[in-house]
Amino acid sequence: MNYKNLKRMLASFMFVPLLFSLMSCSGAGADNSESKNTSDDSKTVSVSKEKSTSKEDSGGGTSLEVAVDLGDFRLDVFKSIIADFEKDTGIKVELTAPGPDYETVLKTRMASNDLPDVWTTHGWSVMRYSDYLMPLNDQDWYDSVTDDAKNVITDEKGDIYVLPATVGISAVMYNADVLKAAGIVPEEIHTTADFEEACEKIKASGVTPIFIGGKEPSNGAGFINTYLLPMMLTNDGAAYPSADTLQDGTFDWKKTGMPVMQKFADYVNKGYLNENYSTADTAEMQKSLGEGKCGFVVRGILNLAAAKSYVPDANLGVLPVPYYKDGGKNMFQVGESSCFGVWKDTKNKEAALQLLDYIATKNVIPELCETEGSVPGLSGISYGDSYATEAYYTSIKQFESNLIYDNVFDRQYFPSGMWNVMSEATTEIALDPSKEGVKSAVSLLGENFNDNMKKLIPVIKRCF
Amino acid sequence: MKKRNGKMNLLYIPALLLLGLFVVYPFAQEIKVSFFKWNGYSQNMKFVGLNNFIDVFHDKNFWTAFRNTLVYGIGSTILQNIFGLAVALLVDTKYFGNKFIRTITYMPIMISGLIMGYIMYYFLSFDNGVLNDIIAVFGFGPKDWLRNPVIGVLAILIVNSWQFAGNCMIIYLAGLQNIPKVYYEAAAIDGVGKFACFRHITLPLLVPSISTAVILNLIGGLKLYDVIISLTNGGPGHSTESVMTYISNRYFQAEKAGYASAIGICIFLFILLVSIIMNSYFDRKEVEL
Repeated sequence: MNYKNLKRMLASFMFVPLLFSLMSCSGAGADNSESKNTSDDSKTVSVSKEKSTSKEDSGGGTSLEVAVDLGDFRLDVFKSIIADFEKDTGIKVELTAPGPDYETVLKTRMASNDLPDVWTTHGWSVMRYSDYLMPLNDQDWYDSVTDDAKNVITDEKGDIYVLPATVGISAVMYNADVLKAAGIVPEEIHTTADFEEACEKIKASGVTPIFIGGKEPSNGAGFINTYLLPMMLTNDGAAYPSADTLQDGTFDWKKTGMPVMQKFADYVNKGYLNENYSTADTAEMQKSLGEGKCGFVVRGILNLAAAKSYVPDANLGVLPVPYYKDGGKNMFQVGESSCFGVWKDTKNKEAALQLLDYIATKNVIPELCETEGSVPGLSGISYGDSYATEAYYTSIKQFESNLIYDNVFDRQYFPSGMWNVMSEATTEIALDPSKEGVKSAVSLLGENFNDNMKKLIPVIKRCF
Repeated sequence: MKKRNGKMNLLYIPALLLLGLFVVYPFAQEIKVSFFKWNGYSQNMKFVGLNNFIDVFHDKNFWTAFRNTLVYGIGSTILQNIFGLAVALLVDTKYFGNKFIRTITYMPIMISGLIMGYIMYYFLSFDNGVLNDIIAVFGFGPKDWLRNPVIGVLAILIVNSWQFAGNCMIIYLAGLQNIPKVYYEAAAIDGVGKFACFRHITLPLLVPSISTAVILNLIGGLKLYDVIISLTNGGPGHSTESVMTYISNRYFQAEKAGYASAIGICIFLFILLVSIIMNSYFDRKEVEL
């Protein structure tokens, strides 16, 4: 090979990778908002039959990137909704569903200021995502948003940043057959004492009273967040009313936090929780509820819908969180479920809003309710054939005269960044329910609460 | 020796560009982040100097993860090499079923670590776990195997070693097939026994393969992540966590990106040091063929 040919070969060889590098770099630089962080997307589902490589495809149609925190059967239903939307509008949708890594992916995308056109906000539309979302008060569906939904998605300026297609309910779920066999009438459980008496009876009947899938520590956090912390600190009839001190950051963890977490340790010591707390996962928790291997599961009633999907003939029900002191009220926690926000810097604003309109008006919300066991966030819409939602409404009728509704506890009373701490604290107590274990968990909660509050207080002062 | 054309150095450019883009730049970012208190996504970062590095040394969960990482790294290396070499010696000769054994040994590598962890989780789980079903046949009650951190760590170690032993087998098989048969023939003429042959011919001539296998397994073991996530999720508590899972936990769940980056830098320096020591040790041991 002569020198000239070698040079040609070398040039060709170098040109190809350089071209690819330049293409990828220029793509990101020319329009940062349109670059795809595909390395973060562990599972990208392209609903479109024809794949498009950019948001503006060659045919001139728009392509939207939509990220959702849905998995399993919820994702299947949403995919069919999106397929219908594509057929109706001609807009192509690239649906991203990273599953358990959803928050991780979204955090990475926020750090690089490169977000999907539309994404679900899983409870954080105001506190975490509002800086990245466009206000949606001017949308046609705004007036139909229910008061329950408005309470949890409105910021201090009165803006909302999501279409609250559905709102989720957190409560106590039970297996009616287990309770019946133990001689318990569910609708007679009003107080903490009633609930604990029920646990004793279930335990005596040879069944685990409460199941927590602690392999995923957020289930432990979910238990104290739904049941223990509101019941002991913020509900009507709470043991140590502390809503104000929690919100202004003066909450005394040593004095008041200790007995609250001691209650959790007592449940462990009394054998109310499943033996395999630290190794059971969420699916096992849901199956146990459906199969009657436990009496209660405490978290979002989505778990009831999942339990029903595992055991279709399961006889399940929902109870509000009990109150501690006589004269108190039972409580349901209401939070975001399928809530869709639009990136404020999206290049596809019209198409994104069109998708929200489609979800709000095309009768797809009942389908979402059926799979999530959630409640429509817009008025005048049915919840479809949702067993879990039906159980929730039945419970409302049973407890109607003595009910209160509140936001999800940590979103209302804790600074951001506490969820992981709650997960660690509950795991610590489950593994070591002694006085020392409780002390260590409370100190962990206290330190992080104070640390996160320090960051939050300047923000609060700026807002007011 | 013929002098190399200097222009050939241009061929380095594509690789260097890609390396710079995907390794050097992110690594430089990691170093930067390790000096800040940052939640990993907000636009505000607070400079904290060396505080994150100081915190690393006072964090008992980090030391648990570090100890486990050493167990996973060194333990997997030992188990995989012993098993891999044993199978390689077994399949190095021709006999019926030889290919079947190779395939069976190599097959687990084709399954992702995450899936393997889930398979083993269902094997070891308390409720409906296969192992508990087996011991039930002998009249024993169910045990929550993974609740015990020692069993959890051992389970991860064994699953990872078993899954990747096939890699070692392939490396050793290649090494064995490169050893000239004349050495064995000469030894046979001298009446040398099989074990002595292995000790004085096979093993010294396998040092390049051992070097490759040990370094690859050690790095693989030190970087272990997926099996842990699916089998124990680092629990109970943080007791089966490796440094890699702990970094992920601190960065994304605890929202302590700066602190997680500081751990990343520390473990990078540790792996670098171990690799340099191992490399220089095996360089000295290698036998020129």
